[in-house]
Amino acid sequence: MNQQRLAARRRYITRFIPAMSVYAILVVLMMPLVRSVDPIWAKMLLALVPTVPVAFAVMEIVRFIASQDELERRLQFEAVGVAALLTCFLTFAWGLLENAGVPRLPVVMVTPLFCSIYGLAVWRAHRRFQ
Amino acid sequence: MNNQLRVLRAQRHWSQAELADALGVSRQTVNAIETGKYDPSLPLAFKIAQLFNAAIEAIFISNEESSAP
Repeated sequence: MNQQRLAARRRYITRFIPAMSVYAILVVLMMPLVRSVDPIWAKMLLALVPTVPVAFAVMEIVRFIASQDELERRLQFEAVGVAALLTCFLTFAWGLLENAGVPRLPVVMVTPLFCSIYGLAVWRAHRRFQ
Repeated sequence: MNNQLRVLRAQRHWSQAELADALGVSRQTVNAIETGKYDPSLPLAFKIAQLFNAAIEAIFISNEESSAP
């Protein structure tokens, strides 16, 4: 791996993992705080605090993808497409099931669903070219 | 598309990783090109041609061309 690519990977790992760790800590810290404060605007503000490290992590993902070569970017693009389509399909199907009495799917679950499918799609795409 | 990349690389006694470093791509990309699983973009094809000091058409051969009588 050349130095530029190695530096990009190192930068991604050393920034993404801490950002997501901070996110996890903030989610745990903010949950009781959100319930304890009174004005709605304060609740909303505190509830959104964990999105700050996530926004940082998203920027790092974008930067990392930009540092990859053309085949890797193509694989990422395919994986994002598969994840988006499957997430749309699954949440749409779940929405229809809700009419049949299935419990409502919290909107916050859409992102983990998308990320899980995306991870599997990247793994599958990489296997194709090994 | 067929290509002569593996042959050219072997002539220079380069590993896939060394070629990947010279081209600024991953080893997986070099392997995918060599095995014909991935056709490189025109800029990358030019870079490969420059690296081996050869014409693009001497390295990359379209399937139609290679199957022509």
